[in-house]
Order: sequence, then structure tokens, then C-alpha cells
Amino acid sequence: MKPISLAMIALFVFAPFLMLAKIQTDFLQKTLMLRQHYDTAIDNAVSDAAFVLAGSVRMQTSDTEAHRFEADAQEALVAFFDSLSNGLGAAGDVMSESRVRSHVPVVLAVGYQGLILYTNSQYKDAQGVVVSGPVVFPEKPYIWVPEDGRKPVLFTMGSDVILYNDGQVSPSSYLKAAALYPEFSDREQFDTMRLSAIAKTVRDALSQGLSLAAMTPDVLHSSADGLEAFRQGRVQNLYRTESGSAFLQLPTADDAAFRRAVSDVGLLAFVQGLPVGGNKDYSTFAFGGGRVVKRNGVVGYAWDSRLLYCVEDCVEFQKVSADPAFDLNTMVFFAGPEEAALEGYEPCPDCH
Amino acid sequence: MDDAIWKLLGFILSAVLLFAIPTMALLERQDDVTQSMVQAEANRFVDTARDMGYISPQLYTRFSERLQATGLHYNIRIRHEKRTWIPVYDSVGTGLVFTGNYDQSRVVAGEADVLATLFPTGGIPPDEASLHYNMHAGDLLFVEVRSRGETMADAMRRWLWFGQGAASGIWGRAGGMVRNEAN
Repeated sequence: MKPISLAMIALFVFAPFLMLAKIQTDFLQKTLMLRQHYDTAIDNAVSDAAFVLAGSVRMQTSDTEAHRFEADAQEALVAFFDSLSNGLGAAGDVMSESRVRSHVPVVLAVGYQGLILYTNSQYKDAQGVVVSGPVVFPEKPYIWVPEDGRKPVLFTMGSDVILYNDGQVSPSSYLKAAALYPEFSDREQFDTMRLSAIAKTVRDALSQGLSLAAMTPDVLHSSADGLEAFRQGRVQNLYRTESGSAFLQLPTADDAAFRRAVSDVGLLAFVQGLPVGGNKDYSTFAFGGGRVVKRNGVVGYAWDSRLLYCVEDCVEFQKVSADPAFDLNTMVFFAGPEEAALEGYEPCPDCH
Repeated sequence: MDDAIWKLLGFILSAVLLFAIPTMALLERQDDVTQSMVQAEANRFVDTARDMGYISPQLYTRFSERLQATGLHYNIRIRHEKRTWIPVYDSVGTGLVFTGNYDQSRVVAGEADVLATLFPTGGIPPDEASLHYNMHAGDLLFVEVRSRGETMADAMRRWLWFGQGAASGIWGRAGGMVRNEAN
């Protein structure tokens, strides 16, 4: 046999494998590009929504401000879906926008002292007809209920807490609250408890949202505890999107990573089932890009006939506040050093 | 006779293997690089405009020139979604009563509106700032770039597959919320 014939036989044998490898590589490359495109669109949308929420990075001291967070959260949701639709090229087409929405079963607007859950689920309207659409829940606080019967405490993203007192809620600093809750006297322990309560609220809201999104109204109403049933996998967690269906899963991030992610005001979006070809779909849980860096406040106080402000961790402040002569009533909390200076407080030489 | 057919087939195959396939791989690689570059330029343009709060003629021209440097022609689509918040009033009797709610309206401007501001037809106005296309914080700005016609890799693919290869072209989209205002 001539060498040319051998070469051609070898070519005919190997060519199909080479072609298959080429097709597979092209497919993987296209999938990767599509995933990157989805990542960018989702990260941008989350970041845009967080930008809207940035106005809510503070304590809500009145009903107006609480209402404002709800309004900001609604705005953030609108911004998220607008940005996502634009990013995915669906803007301007009602059907495409609706398809994009159908891939977002749950969004959480995480605020300073509570979160708002948005879910895309099926429900029965007043006429008993099953409809599918967005459902927004009222604000859920970051609550911690002590096991020994003491009154519950509402945590915030900062060092403030909200206490129940004779049927009234009153904002307080964690140091003041330490009189009733001695575990708050250690800042590290307080932060651990606070982050744990926030993470629990977020995780519960997320699984509640996912269970609502996954279940049909009949399943939901027949289940005594839909959330628990979803957690235990007793109900079908198949979420129907307009272009197919996707299995919903709770985030698998380990606790530490999850706590870091929920340590600031922002927006968490759960995106499921975007098609990437090859009967596969893309699901992500985006919270990293949308976080807003919160400024640490300062505490103002009177000491030695002077008005001073410190960061709360300041060693000097810890020492002074433990002194029996220190008057707790002189303590004032400010959003930042500028605000404290405007009120006539001087910087502490130790921490500023 | 058989020998001649074998030789011809061998020649065609070696031409394809030694010339066409490596060229195809090279052109596809060039498309990949162009694709990354177009996406990066789209990001750079739109991020700069979102941070500044306006699009200037220089910014647009630079963006356009960088795209042209890839050797292809592009269609640039711009979508600026302006938002306005309008209070909702109820008519009670002959007067109007504020309901406490508001509506959000969105007006979309396209590349024609942007280019009409950046490059006016009636001569250049005295102040440069009036050539800026201004936006407001909270608006959405998106840009989509798509190559016109086919790339060399597309053409080669079409030739190798006897007209069957689909033209993928070069494409990029970027955008998001406007973060600052010019004024």
C-alpha cells in the first residue's frame, strides 16, 4: 500500500473524532460566553438595585422611614428587573420581559433592620383562579428570641438594636441593651449573634420564597407547613419557567461565606433555569455584586467636661464607659465623624 | 486512472489539512480576540458614560474608532431609559387630591436621539457642554454592538462547509444604571 493511501485511511479514521472534538469545543466556548453574559447581566442588575437601596442604609426611626425602605425596596426590584431585561436584550418586548421574570423565582431586598421578600409564584385570586405573578411580602425583621423567656430583640446591620419594652419598641445601642442582655457586653459575641440572626432570617425567607415559587397553590394549601415540606424534599421543587422548568435548590454556600454576604444592605437574587444549550440550564445565586459598603458610625459622649466622639471599638471609649463616673445618658450615635463634628463633638485622640 | 483520482484526492485533502484548517483556526482565534475586545470596549464606553452622567462626542468617537480598529464595521445601538416619577392625584369634585402614591414613567431614547445631540447638523454650538448627551442618576444606559456582514472566519467557514456555515458575527452588550449626573 502506498504511503498516500495509508495517510488517507488514517485521516478517514481520525477525522470524525477530530470533528467531534471541534464541535464539542465550540459548544463549550459558546456556553461559556453565554454564562459570562448571564453573569454580567445579573451582577449589573443586582448592583443597580443595590444602588437604589443605598439610601436605606440607616436606622428607621419613624414610620415614614420604614415606609421609605419599602418604597426603596420596590424601586430596587423595578431597577433589578429593568436592568436584567436590558442586559439580556429583552427590554421593550413584553413577552421576553415576562420570560426573564419567570427565571427569577426569589429576590430579597436586605435592608438595615429587615428584609423584603419578592417571589414569583402561583396563587389563587379572589375568584379562585390560579394565576402566576409577583408577590411582595411585608418587611421581616432580624429577630432573635432568647430561649430563657426574655423579650425578643430585633437586630440591625449596625450596632443598634430594637428592644421591646411594655408593648413599645425602642431603638438602643447594643451597649445600653447589655444591661438587659449581658451577652451583648462583648462586641464580638454581639456581632456573632447579630450576623447569625440575620443569616437565619435571610435563609428562612429564601427557602420560604423558593417553596412558594416551586409549589402549586393546591400543594401549598394541602401542606401544613409548606416551608418544612420543601426543606425535607417532601414536595416537588420543580419551578416552571416560561421556557421550561428548573429544580430549585437552596444555596449551598457554607455558613461563614453566607454570613459575610449578608453583613450589609443589598439585594440577593436567585436566578434559575436560564437556558445555555445542550439541555442544560444556568442557575445562580447572586449577592456578592450588589452589596453596599456601609459606613461605620461613631458614638459621641461627654467625658471630663468635653464632648468627644469615638468608634465603638475604641479602647479608650471602652475604658471610659466602664468608669462608674461615666454618664450613659450623654451617649449619642452619629452616622459619621462629620455629623458628630457638626454637633460640636471632638475626635477622640486614640481612634481618630 | 485510479492512481490519478487518489493523487487528486490526496492533493485536495492535503491542501485542506495543511492550509485551510490552520487558516480557519487562526481566523477563529482572531474572532475570539475581536469578540473580547468589542465586549471590553462596550463595557469601557458605557461604564464611563454611566460614571460621568453624560456621553460626550469625544467619548463616542473614541469608542467608534476603537471598534473600527478591529477591521470590521459595526452597528451600534444605544438604549437610554429615562425615568420620571409622577405624583398621582385623584380628582375630587372640582379639585385634585394627592393620593400619596406615585407612578414611574419610562421614556426610551435610541442612538438616533443620542447622535443628534452629539453631532448636531446645524453647526457646532459655542459651548462644548451643549454637545453632551446628559442623563440622570437612576436612568438605564445600554449599548449593543453587532458586526455588519461576515467576518473572515465566517467566510472561510462558509467556503469549507459549502455555504452551510452559519455566520456568528461579533457581538457585545453592556450597560446598567447611571450613577452620576452631569449638573
